[in-house]
Amino acid sequence: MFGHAWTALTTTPAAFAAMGGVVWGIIGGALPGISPSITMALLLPFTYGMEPLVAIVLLAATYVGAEYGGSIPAILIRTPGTNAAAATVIDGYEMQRQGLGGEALGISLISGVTGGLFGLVVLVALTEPLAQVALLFTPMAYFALGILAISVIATLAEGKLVKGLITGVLGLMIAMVGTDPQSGVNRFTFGRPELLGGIDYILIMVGVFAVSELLVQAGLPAWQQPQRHMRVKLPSFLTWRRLLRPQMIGSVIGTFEGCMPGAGGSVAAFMSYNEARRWSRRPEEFGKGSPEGIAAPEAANNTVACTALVPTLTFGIPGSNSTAVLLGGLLIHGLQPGPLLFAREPEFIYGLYGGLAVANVMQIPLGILIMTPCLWLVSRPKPYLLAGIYALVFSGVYSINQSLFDLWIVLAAGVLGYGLRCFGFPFLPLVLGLILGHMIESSYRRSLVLSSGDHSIFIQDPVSAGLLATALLFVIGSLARSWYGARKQEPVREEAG
Amino acid sequence: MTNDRAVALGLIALAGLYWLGADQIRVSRLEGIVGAQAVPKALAVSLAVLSMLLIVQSLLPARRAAGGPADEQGEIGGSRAHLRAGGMLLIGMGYLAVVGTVGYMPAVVGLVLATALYLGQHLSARLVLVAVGLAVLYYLIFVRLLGIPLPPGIWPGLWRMLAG
Repeated sequence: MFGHAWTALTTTPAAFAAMGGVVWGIIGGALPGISPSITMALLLPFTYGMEPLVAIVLLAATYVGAEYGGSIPAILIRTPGTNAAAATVIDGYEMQRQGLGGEALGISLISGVTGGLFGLVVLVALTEPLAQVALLFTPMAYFALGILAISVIATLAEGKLVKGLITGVLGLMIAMVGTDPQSGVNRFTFGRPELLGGIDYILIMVGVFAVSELLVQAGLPAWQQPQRHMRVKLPSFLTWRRLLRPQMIGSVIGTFEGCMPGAGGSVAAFMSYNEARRWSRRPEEFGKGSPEGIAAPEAANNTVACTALVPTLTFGIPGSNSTAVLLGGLLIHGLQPGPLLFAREPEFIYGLYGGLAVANVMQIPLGILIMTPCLWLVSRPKPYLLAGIYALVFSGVYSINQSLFDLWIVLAAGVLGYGLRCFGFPFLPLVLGLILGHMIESSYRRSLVLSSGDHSIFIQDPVSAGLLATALLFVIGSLARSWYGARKQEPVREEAG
Repeated sequence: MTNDRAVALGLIALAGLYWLGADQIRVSRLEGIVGAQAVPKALAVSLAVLSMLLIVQSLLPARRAAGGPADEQGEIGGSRAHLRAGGMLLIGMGYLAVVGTVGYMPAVVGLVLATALYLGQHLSARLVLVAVGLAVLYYLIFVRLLGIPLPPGIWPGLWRMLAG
């Protein structure tokens, strides 16, 4: 494995891609409102012409860098750059107020790297054995897996099960556009030759993530400006020893949350913060500028950046917006996640592990080196930054197919994303439906060919039956939770009334 | 009528249109047991059913008591925010309308200027410099570094006409 990784890193520019991704991720993560998924989506068009390994390492390293980048404004201006950095605000900003901003950034950086490397070890250990499970999968099981993925993601949006399922169906509907691969007939192409090949995932992702965010940001006030000069100060040996326990707590929680689709870095960060306080020798310092209060959530969200790849690489099920973009990148380069990926492309898999290792290790020097230019960029007026991003979106998307039609699709997807956000519909099921649409439809049709049109085949196949039952359990569980929540609030309101 | 019910009605209409569109899909001799229409039609029905569930959910007393209209709102609120977003969208549409004619560099300069001015930046020499600088930077990255042709506009044709 090490030999493969070494060869991949030395014979391709993957190591440089890892470093470039970290830098881009830190800058993107440091911009309030620009999430890791948006930072990755902005990069997607540039990856088209790259070798698959280089492209995916670039995207994965961006995710790693963005998780640290999000802590910069969280610590300096009390505004988390990413959702996962929200827990870092509590003690990070307190340290900054006490004149210890440089130390807080150093703790965030070191803890992030510790968590990231821990997550990488877990990723290497779990991914290949789990991928072997996928060898048992029949077309029926793949169909059921797609349904399970959309159901799980839809149920995770608190109290929005129906809305989540609706956006999942909308994603599947968009995936139907283009030439049907089995019969060769055109579907929903409206006579446009540009739509014959279907709608590229990348266009919808860039539109839904990046353009909708630009539309939202247009109505929000200017960002608070951070101070222009700040040096990262790495923790002393004594502080580092004190941080080991919260880092381990964050890494373990990040491992579980990363492997669970939909849980994501923010849940892991807050859970780790609470657990670190519970197990701390100095719990009274939490909330008043405790270094442990930064170490735990930062280790957790960086662990998630690696362990979230476990379900993505083994089953092709992304658990978050960022891994959905990464999965889009894999599919764009013709890499289908699952056991065959491990059998056919070992150089790619081990190269990706190597790239992630480089990204995590190089995060320390790069995080220190680019702090000043990063602060300079973040302190630019918001109108300049948004205008630059708008132009970058259009230029990047045009570069894929040199088609102005694609840009109209991106703009339309941006409006769709804005609409979804306005009415409280979750995004991720839409993206998941779009990405999994082809797999779900082709598996469904192949299954029915095998059974001569008998739908009971989905119940007869044990793996498929198990997955569908799990999907049903998730939906019922979510409905029960909402019903119970609503019932619990009723007496309170009656008493208040 | 609350937001959710209005959206659900719109989605039911969309489901109807999608079903009609699916019904128009040509039947091929190559297709097997399940035709190219089957899954799109099933999706249209699913969307309609889920939209009706959304309406029912918004009518349930427990749901109304628990959240009410505020629970239905998303993360963006207020007509001012929508107007601002609409303006941003129009700038993007304007860029797409002219980029094929005026070419990449002038269109990007226009896009950056219009966006920055719209977002509250005052017109200044610095702003113009930033707009031109960004257009040149992107041109260098895409055309020179990555070798991707960007829309040249009418200029090469005009140049040939004048020269020849």
